[in-house]
Amino acid sequence: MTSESSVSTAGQPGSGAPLTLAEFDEHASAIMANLESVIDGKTEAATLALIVLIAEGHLLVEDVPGVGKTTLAKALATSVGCTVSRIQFTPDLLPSDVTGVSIYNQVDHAFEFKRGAVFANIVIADEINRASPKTQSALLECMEEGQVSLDGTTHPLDPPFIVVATQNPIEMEGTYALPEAQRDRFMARISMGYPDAAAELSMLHQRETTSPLDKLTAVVDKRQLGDMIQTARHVYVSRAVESYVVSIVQATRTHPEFRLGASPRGTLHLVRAAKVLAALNGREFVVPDDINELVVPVLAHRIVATRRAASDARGGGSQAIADALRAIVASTPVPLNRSRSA
Amino acid sequence: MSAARRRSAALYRRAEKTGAWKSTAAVALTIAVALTGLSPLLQGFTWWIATMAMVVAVLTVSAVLRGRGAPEVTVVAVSALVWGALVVLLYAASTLWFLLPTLQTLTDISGDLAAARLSIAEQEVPAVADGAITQLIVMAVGLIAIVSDELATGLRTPVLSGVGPLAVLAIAPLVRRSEPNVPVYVLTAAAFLLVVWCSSRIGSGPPRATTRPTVKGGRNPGLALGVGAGAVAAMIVLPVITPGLTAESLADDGSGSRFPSIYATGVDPTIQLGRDLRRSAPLLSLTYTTTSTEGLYLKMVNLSDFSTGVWVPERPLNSIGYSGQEFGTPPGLAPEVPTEEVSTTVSVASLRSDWLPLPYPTQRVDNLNGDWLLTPSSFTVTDFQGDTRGLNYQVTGLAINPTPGQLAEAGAIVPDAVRDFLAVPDDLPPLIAETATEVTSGAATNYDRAVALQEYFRSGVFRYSLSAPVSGDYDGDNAQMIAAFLEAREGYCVHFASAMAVMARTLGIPSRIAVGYSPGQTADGTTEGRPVYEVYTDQLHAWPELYFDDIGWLPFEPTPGLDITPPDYSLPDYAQVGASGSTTPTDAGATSTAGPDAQRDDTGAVGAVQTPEQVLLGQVRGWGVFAAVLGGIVALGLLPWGVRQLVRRSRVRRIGTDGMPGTLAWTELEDTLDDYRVQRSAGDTMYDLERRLHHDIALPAEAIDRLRRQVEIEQYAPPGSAGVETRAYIRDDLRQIIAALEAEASPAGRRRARLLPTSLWRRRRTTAATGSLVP
Repeated sequence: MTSESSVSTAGQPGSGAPLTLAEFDEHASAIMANLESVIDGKTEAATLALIVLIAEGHLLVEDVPGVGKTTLAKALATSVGCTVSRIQFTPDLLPSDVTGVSIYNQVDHAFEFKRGAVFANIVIADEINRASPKTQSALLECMEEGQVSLDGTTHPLDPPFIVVATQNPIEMEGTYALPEAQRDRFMARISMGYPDAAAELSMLHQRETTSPLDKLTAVVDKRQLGDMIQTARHVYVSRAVESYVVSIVQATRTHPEFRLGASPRGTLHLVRAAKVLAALNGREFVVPDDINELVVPVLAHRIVATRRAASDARGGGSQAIADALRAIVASTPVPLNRSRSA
Repeated sequence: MSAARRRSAALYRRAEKTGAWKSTAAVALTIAVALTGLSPLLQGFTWWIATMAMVVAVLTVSAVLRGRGAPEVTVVAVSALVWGALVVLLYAASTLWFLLPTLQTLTDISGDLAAARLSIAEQEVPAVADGAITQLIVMAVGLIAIVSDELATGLRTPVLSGVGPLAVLAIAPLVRRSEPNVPVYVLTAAAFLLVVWCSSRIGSGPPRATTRPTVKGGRNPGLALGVGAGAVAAMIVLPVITPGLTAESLADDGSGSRFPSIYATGVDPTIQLGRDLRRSAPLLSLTYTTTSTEGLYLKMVNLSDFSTGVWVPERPLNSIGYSGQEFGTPPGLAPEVPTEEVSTTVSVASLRSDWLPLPYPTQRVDNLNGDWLLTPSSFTVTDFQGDTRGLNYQVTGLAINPTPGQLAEAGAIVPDAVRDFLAVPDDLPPLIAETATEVTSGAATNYDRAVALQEYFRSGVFRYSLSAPVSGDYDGDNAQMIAAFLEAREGYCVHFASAMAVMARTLGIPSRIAVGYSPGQTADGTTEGRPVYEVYTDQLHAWPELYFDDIGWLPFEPTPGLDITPPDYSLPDYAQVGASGSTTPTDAGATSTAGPDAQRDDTGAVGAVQTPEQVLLGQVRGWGVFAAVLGGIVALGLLPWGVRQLVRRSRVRRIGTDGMPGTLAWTELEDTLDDYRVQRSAGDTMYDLERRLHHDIALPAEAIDRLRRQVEIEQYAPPGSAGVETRAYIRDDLRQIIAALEAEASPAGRRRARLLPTSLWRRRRTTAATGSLVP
């Protein structure tokens, strides 16, 4: 999904967006190059990570151990030259470890706020399902509100703020699966998947002596990332595409294989992600293709399959959900207005 | 296409058509059952066997071909060829080297069909399934079988395939106007359901690789073709094989308009009743009881016009609705002629006729059901929609008993009102008038001449024979046939009646032919003490009626050998009694009437009733109609192509002015893809389609890409950002893509796309307007 050659490089008149599509493309390509240098053959996962970053969402990376979840998150953080913090979630991790604590300063005779790990632009929450629900909630509140409230004081988080959480799909002892309501806060869920043989071979070669992460440098600074975010926000979504999105989301709510369909927040996230994808594709407007491409990563983790579908022979719940979503996309008519009065 | 590809295509089709033979067999079964529905109309069952032989032959061919994986086009073409070959082999006499049809073959077959139409028109149901009728049914049902099988098995539209058997089923109730034969209907419906079931299971044998669900654009390419063919077949076949529906143009077989086809139902009032007389198993037509001491002639219609050389039934001119009123005084009857009233009760059994059988002269009819028309001048009662079956009515009539004196005096002069009954054609063979003059040379009055004519026929010189006229090739009622009959001296009522009537005319006696039933014979039972007369189909009869002024029309009975006693007054003895008292006949009057005819005889041509020019004209007209129908069908077939061209042209033109030129071009592209049966899905985005096209067909990728981007801008970009300066590009790109698409298609695919553009009748994919949510 590398960007296509842009149709029009003219900036949106009157939008006030600081970047042209060419500049946006330039930055995005640089980030993508960085990401791909550390994880080979995972273009789709890398692009989704970038989309979520620019769309100001949060990313849930779900996969078996050792496929590069953390590497991807780290590479993303390094590339954009933002502050990064990493929290390794363990069962004994406390909410205060995440958000920070108020400590009584004996010199000043006052409580002083000690910032937690969440005060960074990019927070890597490793193995989030290992922490207790209480701690998970603390992080998820920050994700939703972009601030930390403690002892009546509100401490805003510095934008951009993105949480990249990783989790193991395989049930293990001492894990607490994220409840549906909390999964809903993530814009997209991606799965890394195993690298193919060639990628795995070159990985061996590269990492013989050093980690490629060490060689990474920031290619975009924080201000430029902010500009990109602004640019993506101004991508145009026509009424036709909006109603197309709504059609798809509503279809998930009536689908016979789903116990729980996608939330209105899912609709919102889908459009926001599609805007970024449109910009990455060099377009200043969203087309149905952008939506279609993002339906599975953005909606799948919000949906609860019926017991029957979840126990389906086709590789269990998530595969069944993805198939059903693709079927919904295939059967939803693409809007095409043929009358002249458009 | 390489041999290997062709083979693999055949293999694929074979796999797709597994079990197709079951559907074909079900079609054959359906037709077989539906055909039995015709049995009330036709006697015997040889026609059924012959027809089923044809059906089985063509369906076997198509089943075998399908089993070998032949394309549908080939299947239809070969079965049609087999049909044509069988028709030629079985029914065409003149072919080249046994099989090659010539122009003469076509003429022969069309002649056969014309004969079949005549045969149907003339016979009473159930008709004798003679060669012509059987041939017609074999040909028509053979075609129906091919079409039905193609619809059910080839195009997989089994519901449409029911049209054929339905057409066959519909014939019997239409003709007989009776309750349908329920068991046959139920059986046909069951067989039809079997067709639907078998057709739906075609190809369900091997598992089919199913990919992501796609909606195929124009899933039923042959649907319109099927509907059209079925409609045309039904339109052509139905009227031909149903006498009740005979269209006038179709009944005109080139032999000139004999009579309006509307008369051509059941018993046709033409002179050709030989067929019914030859019927192997006579049916009871009607029964009656009467106060008369003798049986009565029951007349249905008069044949009064012979001016063209053919006896033509009298038209029901000036007819009035009949509601039990008095008929009035019979024409020409003087008050002094003694009459007595006769009451008759008629119960009609199987006779189906537009004309009511009545004794002449009738005064009143009571208890008559239905709407009937009375023709006052001829005392006949008719109804074009009439059905006499089951009628039961009372007739009050007169028996006319003229005295010998009155007979001798009558007929000396011919009133103007009946002068039409003297008309004979100019080309009347001279033999007729010569014989008439010779036979009546000893007679003094017109009445004596009439008696002499009847005596001449009954004297033993003539022999009654139903077969002789047919084998001698003079079966019929035109002038030449009459002359031939006078020489051969063998024939049946038609010949005797028409010969006597024409001879009377040459002698100056007004005459006409009555068609109806001879008196019949008494049955065992009685009703109210009176004998019941039974009249059978083979007692259909024709007899001459001669007009004598002051007496009116009197029936004569020239036909010998039928065991019918001629009326008293027509016997020589009866006449002799009064002859002494008769006044001197006006010879001058008689000769003056007969004279011109006799003179005209000399100039009369020996040729046919129709001149060769007329025959040629008739043929030209027949072929003209055929060519026009053919042209119409071709035009109809080209209609979709024309409409599609117009649509495309209009769109290409509008690209120059339309607000969304790209979308317009894209719509045209989609329609063209549908025409070429390129699969699309409603859920596809334009980019999806572009990718698929790129993958499947070598199309100008750049042009499609440019077009797709233009449409995306028009559709989804902020208003005002659409670049319309690219109109010229769009038009060129569209043309380029369509040209590439056409070049890529196979010749057959191209033909199909042009002649049957699916885009014209497939439902356009839903245009989801803002807010309309499609789950």
